[in-house]
Amino acid sequence: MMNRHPFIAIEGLDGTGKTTLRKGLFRLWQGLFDVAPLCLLTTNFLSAEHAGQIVEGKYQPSADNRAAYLSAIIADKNETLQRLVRPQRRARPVIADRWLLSDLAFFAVKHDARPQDVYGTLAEGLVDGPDATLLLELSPNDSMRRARSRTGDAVREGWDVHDVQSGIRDAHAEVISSSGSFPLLGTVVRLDATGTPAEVLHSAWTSLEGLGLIPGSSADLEGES
Amino acid sequence: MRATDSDGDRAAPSMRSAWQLLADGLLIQRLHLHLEEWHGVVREVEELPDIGGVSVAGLARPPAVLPSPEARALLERAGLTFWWSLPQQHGVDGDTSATCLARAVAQVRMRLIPDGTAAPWAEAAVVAVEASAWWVGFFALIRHRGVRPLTLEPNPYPIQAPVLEGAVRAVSYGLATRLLAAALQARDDEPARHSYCEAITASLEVERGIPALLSDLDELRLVDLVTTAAVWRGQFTKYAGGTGAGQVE
Repeated sequence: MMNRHPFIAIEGLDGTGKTTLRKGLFRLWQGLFDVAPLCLLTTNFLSAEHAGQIVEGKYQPSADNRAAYLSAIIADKNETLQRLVRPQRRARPVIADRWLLSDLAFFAVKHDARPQDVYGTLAEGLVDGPDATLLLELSPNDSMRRARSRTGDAVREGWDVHDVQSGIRDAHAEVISSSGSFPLLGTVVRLDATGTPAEVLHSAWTSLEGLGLIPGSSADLEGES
Repeated sequence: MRATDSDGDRAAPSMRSAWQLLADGLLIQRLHLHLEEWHGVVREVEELPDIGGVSVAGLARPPAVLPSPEARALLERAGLTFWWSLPQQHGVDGDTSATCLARAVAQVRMRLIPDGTAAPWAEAAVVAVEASAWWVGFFALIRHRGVRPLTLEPNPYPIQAPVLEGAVRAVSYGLATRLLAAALQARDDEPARHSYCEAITASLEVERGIPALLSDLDELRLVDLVTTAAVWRGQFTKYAGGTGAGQVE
């Protein structure tokens, strides 16, 4: 019996299926375990005094606002952890659409910062994080093609371009190569995003089950109901 | 595992499960309220005034598949005995030619159970899907006597058969999701897991079209059927405002 529900982050390039996987896991949990997860984002603007710095640092990144942006996202994540994640985990899983890995990749691409260095600063301000980070892996060409084919979902100018997406993938690879050095990511699970949405959902389910983050056999389910 | 309101406490069943019961009860109520009227349409009407391209007798026919005892047990576990037994009880044998809704059923069936396994969970899922078409057909046959959900005024505008096919897909995937969850809770099974994942992701695809579908259906009973049976973001909006029953049932 889980005394505390899991906190899971979903990461990947734009177009890899993060939203579909989040919705799929939401419905899987809801259908099988009668509990609806709380879904949130990497920044949730719970710290009002930092909201301006987050917007500026994200959309107008510069050497001048880099440090303030990093401080602001730490503040926002702490607010999210304190006000949403920790209380809700007593009753339901929490699923974040991006969390820490995206921040590391952003600083790598926009500020040419090494993930390990940015992580060090983040780790000074954060005490906990997700149990697992599910990383959807797809080539930048394929992910950008998928992103462009979406309806009603704007492609971000200057972000959904090959150089940037390749840089993000490189940052992911650097983290994966020494994921033990990034404990605030939790267990990093690499998922092949080339399959159908159902196949990706099934892979995520199996992985989470293997990590003990989702109840396993039907015997477990019966015993806990 | 069940949701708890606080650490260690066993909580009451979720609000969602309570809303599901209310929605099921509303369907049962409406079937019985309109059964006589429905039989009148089936007996006397050859072509519907508001829906083109459908066979009245075809929509009234009960589903072909009767569940085995094992499949019935799974349907019972999912709270879906009424879903298959009422169509069997009240369906009217007649025209045996395939309907447009049969095509939608076949598509859903092929997606969920592509290898045609005869396992009880698969059989129960097929029964739930076939019954979905019957329920859509039931309310479609009396659509011209219904009202628009927002104004509660009669709707004089016709729809075409493909709209009903869309309703069957939305309802079928919702019911299959519900049935397969119950089946997996009873017994873990890898093929059933794959089918469950297909049902979930198919529902995600269908969800994008539900607002347009509801707009096309534009009749209270059909809209309630789709909104509460399909798994989508608005599934229990009808109940989330503290109400459930409409003024016109």
